[in-house]
Amino acid sequence: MAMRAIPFDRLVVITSQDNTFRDEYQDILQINRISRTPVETLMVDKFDLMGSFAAIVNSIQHHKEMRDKVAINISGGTVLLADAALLAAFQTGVDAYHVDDRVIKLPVLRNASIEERLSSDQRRTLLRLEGNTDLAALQKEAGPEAARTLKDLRTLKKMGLVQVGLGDGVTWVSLTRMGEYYRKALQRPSR
Amino acid sequence: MVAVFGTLGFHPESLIPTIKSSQEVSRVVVFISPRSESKEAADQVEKYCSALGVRFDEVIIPDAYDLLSIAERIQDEVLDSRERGELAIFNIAGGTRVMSAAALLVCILEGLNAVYVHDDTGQEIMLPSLHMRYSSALTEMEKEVLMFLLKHQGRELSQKDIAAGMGLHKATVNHHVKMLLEKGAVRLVPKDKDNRTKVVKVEDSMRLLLR
Repeated sequence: MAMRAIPFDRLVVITSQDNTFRDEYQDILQINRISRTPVETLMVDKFDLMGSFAAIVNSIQHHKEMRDKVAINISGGTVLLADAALLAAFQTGVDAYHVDDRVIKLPVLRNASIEERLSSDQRRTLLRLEGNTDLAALQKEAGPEAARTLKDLRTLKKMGLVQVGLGDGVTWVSLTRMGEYYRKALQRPSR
Repeated sequence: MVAVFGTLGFHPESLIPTIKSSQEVSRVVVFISPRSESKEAADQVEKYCSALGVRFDEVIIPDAYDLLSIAERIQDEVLDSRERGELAIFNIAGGTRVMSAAALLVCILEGLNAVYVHDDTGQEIMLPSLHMRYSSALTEMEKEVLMFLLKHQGRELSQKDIAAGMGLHKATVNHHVKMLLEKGAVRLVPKDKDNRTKVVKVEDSMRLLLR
């Protein structure tokens, strides 16, 4: 039903190795062979949510780079695969659909990826944090921008990306697990 | 105060690790389908909570395959929890694929911590999300235009109609509609009986951004 409802001229099937032997997968290949639509298969580990998520994000970015308009259907596969696809759609800001007896376009916005939701100062502050960072040293390093850096840190803390701790009379700032994740995402070359 | 939310299928093991690993849990809320196996799993979680002295709430989802109605029901509970001042964490590992996706959708929209428990290892995996409402990517005026469109969803409204209906200048509406188009929140389609006129359409799911 999704193939009828969402127009496309190239299809990427996201699946795991064992599913390639199933009739459903072979049917998709067959249908698209008849319509001469190029089909590409993105193999993922169906038990690895974050790995699948990263693979889908990469594939979306690759196709965006090729100036393709990308849409993703999250209604197939395992729970884990559907969740990975949903996360990837919001992360990259591409149209996402859930298709059952009707077609539901999910409320994904195009300007709401992490890169777009942080200001350039907030991004810079996030990238400067590695391990435990002494807050006083960080402010000193920021010089005349110290007040702004502090404000950015407060915002990043509110977003759950930064945590603050006390030890040996020093105030430390460090990234949360989520902060580490987004720092890595920001370090990836933008496509 | 921490509230642990979870979609639950037939296996309580998918939720227990999150209750165990979260500190100061004061309440556990499970979302289940009306099937007896889900009820049995919920009863086991309730027993576990009772032993810990933690309040347990159960929400029955009548149709475990209707994504938008499930998301709305979950969002009601999440917003209520926010009003109570609870810190929320959401385990999306159990339930149907649609229930899990609806829960993850709400986590993204409301900026909640979402976790997944690996089927085999029982390991908790934290999913990436920002602690900020997704709707903060829209301005107040953009939200008002969306609200107006959703309220009049059955009608074909041009930008001129929206301006008249909202009591705004046409140029103001044009600007906000242009921004909403860029953000992918609305689309322009030709009017039914007049191809030269474009009407502004909004997806039903945008409702979730405006609550």
